[in-house]
Amino acid sequence: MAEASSSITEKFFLTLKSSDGDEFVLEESIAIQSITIKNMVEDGCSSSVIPLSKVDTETLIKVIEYMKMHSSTSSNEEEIENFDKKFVSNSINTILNILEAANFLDINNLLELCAEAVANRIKNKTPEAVRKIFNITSDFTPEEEAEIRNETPWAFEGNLDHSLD
Amino acid sequence: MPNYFPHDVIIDILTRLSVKSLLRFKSVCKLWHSLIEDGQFIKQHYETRKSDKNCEKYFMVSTRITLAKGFYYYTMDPPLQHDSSVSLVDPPIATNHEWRSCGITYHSSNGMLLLIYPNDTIILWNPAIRESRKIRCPVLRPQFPGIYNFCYFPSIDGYKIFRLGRKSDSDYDKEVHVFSTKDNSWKSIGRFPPNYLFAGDVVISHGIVYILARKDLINGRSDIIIVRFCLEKEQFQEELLCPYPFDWTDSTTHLFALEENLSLTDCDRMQNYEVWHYMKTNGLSYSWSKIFAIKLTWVPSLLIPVSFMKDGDMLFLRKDSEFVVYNSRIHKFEEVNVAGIEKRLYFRRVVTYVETLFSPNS
Repeated sequence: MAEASSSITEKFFLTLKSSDGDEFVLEESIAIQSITIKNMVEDGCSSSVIPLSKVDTETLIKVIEYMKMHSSTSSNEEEIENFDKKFVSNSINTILNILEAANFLDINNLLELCAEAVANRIKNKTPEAVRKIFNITSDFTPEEEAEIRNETPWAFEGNLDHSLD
Repeated sequence: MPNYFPHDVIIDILTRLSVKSLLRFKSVCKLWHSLIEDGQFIKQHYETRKSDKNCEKYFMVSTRITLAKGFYYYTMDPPLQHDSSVSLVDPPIATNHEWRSCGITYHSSNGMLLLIYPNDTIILWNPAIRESRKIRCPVLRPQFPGIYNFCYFPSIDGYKIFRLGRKSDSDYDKEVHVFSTKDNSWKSIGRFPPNYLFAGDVVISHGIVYILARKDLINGRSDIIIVRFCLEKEQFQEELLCPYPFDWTDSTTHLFALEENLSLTDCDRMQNYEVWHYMKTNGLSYSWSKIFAIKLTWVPSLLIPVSFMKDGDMLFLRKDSEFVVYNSRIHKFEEVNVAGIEKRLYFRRVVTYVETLFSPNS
């Protein structure tokens, strides 16, 4: 018990390494918002650098920004709310990269924030725009696609959004 | 841009989209198509949205018949401040001209609507995906129209429809049938308890059918009580008493389902209007609690609770096509502007639902 209480007051630091090779030093208490990192720390893998092979530098900077703002000690609710609003105004490509990183790092709040933001951005888009944003090539034949459209033609009506952001 | 996106992340995004967007995005690629059509996803999509007030929609049918046009089917979004708008929707079946003088009744459960047309024509309809299914009436050429309601049962992953029908000219002679979409058949349950006189409202909450009835007492009074029928066990249960004894001759009592809980409104001759709901208190047993009471400044021909809104406010339908919000802070009704409702229309009831991808035919 004595050991546990002393570890709360003492600050530990972790080094996170992006897929581009850049290293970032971060307080452990902030970094363990990521369940993936928390598990690594608990398994004793944190003494050296933690390589995050699936997260590039640009994305990791954003994720660290988010974790710092959302760590329990520093920020108040209003600040966090404003930060989140600004955060999701990033380009949809950036948000998708962060979303993928949040999934890999297992940061639930960030995942939910980004999933909601992506849903909001794409809800009125055409299937063609969605394909481009998600880098998907349609594997339907033109006939198959026409058939799906004909099942619910009214879902394709109205003012649809063709933009890619 | 990532070439490969984890499926669970795509599902996280899709879960947050409206039914209309999802129907459109089925054409994105085969993977998205199969994710959106997956039964587990459809359930998850509905579950995450069903308690979100922003996803709630209202449905109503105008039963005013003009010579030129038939019934008007509307969906409406919840009023954000004090205004909202309606959209006309295509009906699930064509209107029969013989139905001119009759009405349509409708109920809502788990994103699905049950519409009862004249001659006991029963339609299970998902307005969000515009799919419907006709269910035959258990009684061949019914002489008297049946009273219906229905609800979703997770245990059978299907719906049960309750029907109360009159057998003969006698008001006391009523019978009950239950339909299950799982068995795709009706079952005759037997007679409605003959010591009660059916009083017009059938409401379902948490799998229990609540039926408003009158019970004649020895002292000449006629009290309003609520007959209970368990749809799961398919049997009548002990009666439920009103919050306090309402005399039949003195007050007008109605039952509703609000956020899946049984609710009751009562208005006496002095225009004292009360709204109650029957729900679990402290997570233990069910009991009545009063939501609010108010002395009305008008004679209520119709005042129907529709839905709870933020901060304890409540939306009501008040005569014809007028909506009002009960403001719980200042204890007053305030008018709601609803754009798009044609003048000469009137609604008898409004049901709430949350859009879903469930098919009535599955």
